Amino acid sequence: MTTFRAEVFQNQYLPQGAREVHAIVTVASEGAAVGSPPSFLPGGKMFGILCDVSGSMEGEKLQAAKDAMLKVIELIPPDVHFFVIAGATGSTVIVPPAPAIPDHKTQAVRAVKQLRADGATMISTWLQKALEQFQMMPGAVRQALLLTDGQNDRTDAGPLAATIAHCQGIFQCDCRGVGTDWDVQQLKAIGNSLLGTTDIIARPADMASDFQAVLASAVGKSVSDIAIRLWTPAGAKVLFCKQVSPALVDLTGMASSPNPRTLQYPTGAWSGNESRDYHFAIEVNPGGVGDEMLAGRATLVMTQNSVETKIAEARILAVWTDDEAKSTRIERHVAHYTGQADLAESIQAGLEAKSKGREDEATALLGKAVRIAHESGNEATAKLLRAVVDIDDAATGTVRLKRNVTKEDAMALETRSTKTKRIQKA
Amino acid sequence: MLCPACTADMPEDDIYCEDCGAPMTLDAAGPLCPKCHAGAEEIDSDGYCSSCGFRRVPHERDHIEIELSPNMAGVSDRGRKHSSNDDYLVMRDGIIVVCDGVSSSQDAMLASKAAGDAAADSIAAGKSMQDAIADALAAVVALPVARSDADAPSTTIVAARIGADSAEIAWAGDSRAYWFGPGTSQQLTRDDSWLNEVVSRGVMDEASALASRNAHAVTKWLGRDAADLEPSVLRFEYPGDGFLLLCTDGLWNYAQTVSDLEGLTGEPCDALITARTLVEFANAGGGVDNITAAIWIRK
Repeated sequence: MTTFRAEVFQNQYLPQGAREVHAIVTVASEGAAVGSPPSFLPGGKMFGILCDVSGSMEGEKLQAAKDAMLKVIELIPPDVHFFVIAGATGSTVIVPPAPAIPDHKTQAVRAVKQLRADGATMISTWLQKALEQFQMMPGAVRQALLLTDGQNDRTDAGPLAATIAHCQGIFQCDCRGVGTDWDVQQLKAIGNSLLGTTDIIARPADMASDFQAVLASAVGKSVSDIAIRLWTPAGAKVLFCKQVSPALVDLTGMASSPNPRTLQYPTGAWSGNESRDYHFAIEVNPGGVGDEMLAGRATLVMTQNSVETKIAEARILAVWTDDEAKSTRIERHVAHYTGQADLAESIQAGLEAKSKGREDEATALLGKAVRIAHESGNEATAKLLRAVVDIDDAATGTVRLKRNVTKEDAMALETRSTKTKRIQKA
Repeated sequence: MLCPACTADMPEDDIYCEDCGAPMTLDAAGPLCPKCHAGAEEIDSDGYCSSCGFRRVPHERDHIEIELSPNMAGVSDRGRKHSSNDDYLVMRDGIIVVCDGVSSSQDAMLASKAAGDAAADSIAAGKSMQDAIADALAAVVALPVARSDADAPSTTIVAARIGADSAEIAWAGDSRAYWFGPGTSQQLTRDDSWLNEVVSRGVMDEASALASRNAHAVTKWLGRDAADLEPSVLRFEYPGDGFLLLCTDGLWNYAQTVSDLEGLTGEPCDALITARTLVEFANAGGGVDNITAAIWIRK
């Protein structure tokens, strides 16, 4: 049985008149040993692959995608239901959902091998078809993998947004862009909204190993439909709720409101040995010096067969003081993740400025990103930054923009800039 | 209609109590949230209000016990309904001062403390009881006023200088002094209340005055808006053995007559135990107000 615990990191002391309360809530699951089959999964698991077969995939990319899918199909455990959707202007279920027993795999391999590339990219139709499959198994852990190589058709923008909204809470979706002709922000919008990761596969040859990692993560989930419910006192306002580790995902706009003082944020499925960090910012009615307030109560809720179970709880406090030594201290988890968010924003804005030819601004922003990555020990992001800028002094963020940056490097930086460095134990 | 929090009598259609600010509709089943006046059912097991989030932070004045000797001791308690103890108790050798900060005024806690400490200092310095009350008044008037003067910090007071054969007692407001002895028990002070004022002036008889919602409104207090205060002063010669009780209305509202109180105390042999008994009695009855009881036993 997977168990959860929640822990709060914050400086609860506020100066007189202060209204903003910040806290990092670490949620960790434990119980299922690594590699062992999940112990408690009454609803089963469903895994779907949504593969782009638009005209631009023709050639090396489609061949790589076929090879990757064939390898993944081979690896799917027999207790997992799986299906494959081929997507272009419309979409086709080329492998209908069924348990991954040898007969079904054989049929699936045959269907994948026959795929041809043709048509435009209308991702809303792919997601809609996946939604219909996942709705057949509402109690299962429901995970999808979407692969595309191009930008979504302009005429599909409205339908795509509407379909994403329908899919939220029904399934999760990891997104992969192959090559460099796809739109990072467009694909990230899908991945973030459907609580999945988004990444670039620049070289088609890398696709097989990436797909296998996505499958391993999907079948490793042992509980599904976990949400964080945040109670705040009367008169309070939640400024934001972000997942800040392992990657930045702004959940603020995804909240539902089960009752007037409570907002519920989806976190999707969890494996038995995961840890994620969330940053809450709450604006409250300020108290007087000496007053103590429960500024928020974060409750982890699991929903199974429409039954809600509270599985962990953490309290966010506020205490007003006239002791400046207490109120001016910035808690190190809050400081670290505020920095990581700043890092991602600097990269995003820096790349945007660079693409529009505003070089001074781009240099300043990417320099700042280099400095934060250096200070926080985010080596993965620092490495991606080095492909885009020449670093004279990382500590001060003194950089020069590189000429001849490959599109692949710029896109990799943009896609992975939201990957955060986990805070080290004190 | 009585306020469920402080029992002040309010017009039927009032939504909030003019005295304590609590909603007239609240459930007075237990302690209230000091910030939003939510009822007891809103307070979680750690003391946080599930409505506004605030927690009542314990205060040193929530419960005070002073024991100078087995013959002289007192207790001051927050009660069950108020979020703070605005009563104040000073006991020194031969001196008792009891003050009841007016809850509807600003900083009632500061007012009662300022008055109590100043009066005790003056009595100890050998000043007259009139001067002691004047000094207490000056101390309250000197407090900063955060908002308008209309509800400037205010408090009642009853003070006693205890001698070998007699006690000098001064008061303003409805905090009381009693003497209890075999066949000699009596209330020494006379409340400065609307009830007493209209009855003594012959405006109303006691029964109809008691029926008014103003009956127990105080007509004298220490505060910026009572600068021309004339305190009541008396000297009481002890008629024999017995004991003095100084207390606030948080007690006597639950024991309206001298014999009610006498029935509770019996013949005290330990002043602190008797003071505790009285405070516990008021709390058991509901504890809607702060409760203070101070006792000196003459032996």
